[in-house]
Amino acid sequence: MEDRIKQIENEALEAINSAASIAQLEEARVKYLSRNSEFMQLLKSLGTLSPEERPRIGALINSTKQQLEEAFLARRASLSQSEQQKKIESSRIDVTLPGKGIKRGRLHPLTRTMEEAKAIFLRLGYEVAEGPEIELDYYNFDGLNIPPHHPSRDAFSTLFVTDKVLLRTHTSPVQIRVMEKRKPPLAIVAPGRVYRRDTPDASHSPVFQQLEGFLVDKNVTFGDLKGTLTEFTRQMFGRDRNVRFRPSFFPFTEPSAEVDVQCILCNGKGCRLCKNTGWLEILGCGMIDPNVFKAVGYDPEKYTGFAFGMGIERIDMLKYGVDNIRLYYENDLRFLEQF
Amino acid sequence: MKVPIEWLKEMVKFKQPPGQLAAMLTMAGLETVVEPGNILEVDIIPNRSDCWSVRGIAREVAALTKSKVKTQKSKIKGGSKKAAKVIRVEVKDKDLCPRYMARVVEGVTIGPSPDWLKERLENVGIRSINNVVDITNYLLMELGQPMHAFDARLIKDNTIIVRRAKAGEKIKALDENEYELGKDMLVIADAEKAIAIAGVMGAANSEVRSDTRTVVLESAFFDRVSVHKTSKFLKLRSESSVRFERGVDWVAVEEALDRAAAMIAELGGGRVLAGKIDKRAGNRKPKVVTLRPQRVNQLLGADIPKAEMMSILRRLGFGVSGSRVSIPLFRATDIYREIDLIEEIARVHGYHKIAAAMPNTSFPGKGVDEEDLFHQRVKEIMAGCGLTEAQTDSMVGPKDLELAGLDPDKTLRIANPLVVDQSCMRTMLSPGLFKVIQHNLNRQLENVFIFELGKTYHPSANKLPDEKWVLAGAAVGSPFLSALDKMQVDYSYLKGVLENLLSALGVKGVNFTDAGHHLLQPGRAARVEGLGIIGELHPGIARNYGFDRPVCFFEIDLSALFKKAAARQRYAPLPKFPSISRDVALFAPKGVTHRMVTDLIRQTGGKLVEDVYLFDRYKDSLAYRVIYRDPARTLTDQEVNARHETVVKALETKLNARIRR
Repeated sequence: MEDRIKQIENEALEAINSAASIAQLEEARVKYLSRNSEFMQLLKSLGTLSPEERPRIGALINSTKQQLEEAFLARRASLSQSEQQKKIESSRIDVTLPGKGIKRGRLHPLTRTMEEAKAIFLRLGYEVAEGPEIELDYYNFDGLNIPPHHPSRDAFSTLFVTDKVLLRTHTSPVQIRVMEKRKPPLAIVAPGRVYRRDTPDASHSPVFQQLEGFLVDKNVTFGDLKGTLTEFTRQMFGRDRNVRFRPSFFPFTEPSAEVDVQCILCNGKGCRLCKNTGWLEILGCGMIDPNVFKAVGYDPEKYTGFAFGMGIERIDMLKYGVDNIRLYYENDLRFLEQF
Repeated sequence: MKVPIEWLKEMVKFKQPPGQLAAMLTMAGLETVVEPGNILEVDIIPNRSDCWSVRGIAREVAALTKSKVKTQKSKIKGGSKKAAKVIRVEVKDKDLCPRYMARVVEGVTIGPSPDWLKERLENVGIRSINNVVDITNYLLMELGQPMHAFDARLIKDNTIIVRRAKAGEKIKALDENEYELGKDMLVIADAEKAIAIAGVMGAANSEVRSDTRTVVLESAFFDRVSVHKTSKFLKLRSESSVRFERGVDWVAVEEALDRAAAMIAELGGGRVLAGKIDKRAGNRKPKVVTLRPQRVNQLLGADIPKAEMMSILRRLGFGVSGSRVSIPLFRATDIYREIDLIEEIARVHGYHKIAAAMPNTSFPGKGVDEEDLFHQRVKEIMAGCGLTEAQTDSMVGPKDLELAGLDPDKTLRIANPLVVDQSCMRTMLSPGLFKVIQHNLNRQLENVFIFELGKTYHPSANKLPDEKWVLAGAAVGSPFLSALDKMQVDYSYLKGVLENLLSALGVKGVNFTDAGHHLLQPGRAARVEGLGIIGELHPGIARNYGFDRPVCFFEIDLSALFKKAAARQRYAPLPKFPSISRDVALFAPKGVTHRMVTDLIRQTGGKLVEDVYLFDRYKDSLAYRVIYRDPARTLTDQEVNARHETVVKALETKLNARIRR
């Protein structure tokens, strides 16, 4: 019997270790280690042995069984690893092939810049207001202290629908519309398209976009205007960039100012972009003219306020170095997809 | 305006080098650069009529450098013969000409100007003509007062009449062009004809010529609006009209006249006749405005001492007595209120000296505008769906409209368009997108997926036209990153984009129904109930744009979408009990749509039907999966089988569908 055990052990080990696949290994397991295998039947025949032989043979069978089971587990581990390895090898891909899925869409650069500018004021507590693009001349001019036949009307080169109806030349009419309806305090930004009868060139487009803003309350000062627009400019163009306020003229503000930011190309040293001045003009602003308050029925002694307006194309052109305004309305994907 | 430093120095003393002077002027509101030849190029803002002269700039320089403008006196050796003997002036329309002055110089020899005069004019961009004309131009530049010189012989009956033109009256101006005048325009005339367009340009019929001996000099104050209208209507701008339409100095009218007469006598060898004609409607005196120093500081948020404020005003030429400030007549057009004085103080004091602060206000707004935020969300969703945002011109041309089969007569027309291609306001967005697709296809791009969110404009019976917010999308080619994916956009792809948009906005139950639109290909397009249209571009329209591949688009009323989306979205509890699914496969007879099948399944399946979806489709063979669930308990197989059998029966009987068992 001992010989037979030894013989089975050798055969089984041979079968386990030479199994080339999990399936062959499983065959070997069934043959040598399953309940009905010859080896397991030997356990059952222990009863036929003499009481003296029984413990010795029993121990031998058990140790052999353990040895075979260990060999089986070891072989299975090794086989499954190599089979996994084979699977891995056979499923290798070229990871540099293009990805699947749809190509993302982009927001228009003017949308991005408009939102960026608007968001700065929203964070400061302003709200958004809207007005019609096709406007009454009263809101576009008279209400804003621009009387008929005043030379400053010419500066706007207006497109008309009728004598009294025009394509708004700036977003400032929204000031009048909001103030007519509401009482201070007010802190508003008004985005939108505006139109001028300008011959198109690299920096002029008959349609363009502005962001208007104004704040009215008791005791609003020119210092507040400076603080607010300095903060805006720093958030928009960078905190370490110098800002200056230069006296200017707008019919609807007094005192009026242009805000210049240190040239973003040459950092103020002087270059072609800033025409060697070191500064770039980015927006116009001022304290709201008392005549504007009178037009909407506010008492200019009681309330003061400031207003500002900026061209979104200009800001975007400066920020991203775009050299032709026409690109914004041409919608060439090779342009739009750069953003 | 060009201001030679050397000329400026004759009028005001200053030590600053040109670059520094330019910077000082710029920061006081007159943008100035230094040009070669030590000439300042000053950009005059519209309200500063007083700065259109070397003296105007000199005054500004004096105020900024704490210096003084030199006064120039004219020495006139008048004889005994009176000017009034040679010329009579009658001002008929005093409203348009509140002051008209004239002097006469006899025995003048017309000839070239001396070199210094020629050179000065040349430096400021004016061509030298002869000594008399050059002198009037010289003083125009120096004092800002336009003048005109007539040959006395050519003034019929020695009479100058200042009157409105007769309708249709014609005049040949010094620029050699003939102008037809309107009856609102002011002319200078003699007894029979117009001899100048008042404030704009003289006429050839009375100009000074080489043999002129007696010169009549005109110096006047014309109505700003009148000159502006005339110059604009005639499209005729001159150094004169630019100054008159902004407003000239009442005092300088006389000062310039005297200087001119004296200079002509000196350089042209004539005699100035005694006396000067001065026809005026009353006299003008400086207006007095009260300045409250605390108001200045309150408005500026500054702490400027009263003495400094008054010093600034004095330096600018204002009269100051206590808190009463008298406005010199050369600033009469732009300064007449306290706020105007505050601006003067602020700009000369220096904006940079006013400390930046933040407003102490309560900011009443809620921060965002719902509709504006909604627009932003829609744009983000569109971009997420693979569409790139375009922004097209709101102004289009009849040709653009006709390409898209739209009637230009039904659009809002611009009365004075720059070009005909921008003479109509768009009524739809998608035609603009078709042009964008065309533009990109013409540049060898193959896949164009774009959208635009913008306004359309519609004629209306109201005071103002209607403006509507619209969303449109258009696409051609493949939406995929990789060219390995061959799928090309079609109706269902773009519908998927729209479905994702609706779902992202929480809009449910929007029906897509068969509908016709002239831009859409019948049978491959739909009306999006209550919102707009979607589909493949009609082949006839596609041909107009030269498209040889299917183009799909949609156009949606954004205000309607905003209203549908505005409802608040609420949480639904997650199911506690399992669902059971059953499939049904059928052959749909002609005319039976997917929508009819799902509607019937939901209707007959009742409340237990949680979801129905199509999971397989080959030609008319459709396979649906129905998900049954009761939120309150676990369903049994038997009851689901029974319910599903009812559904299948209904499909057989009501839709005539053959069921694949």
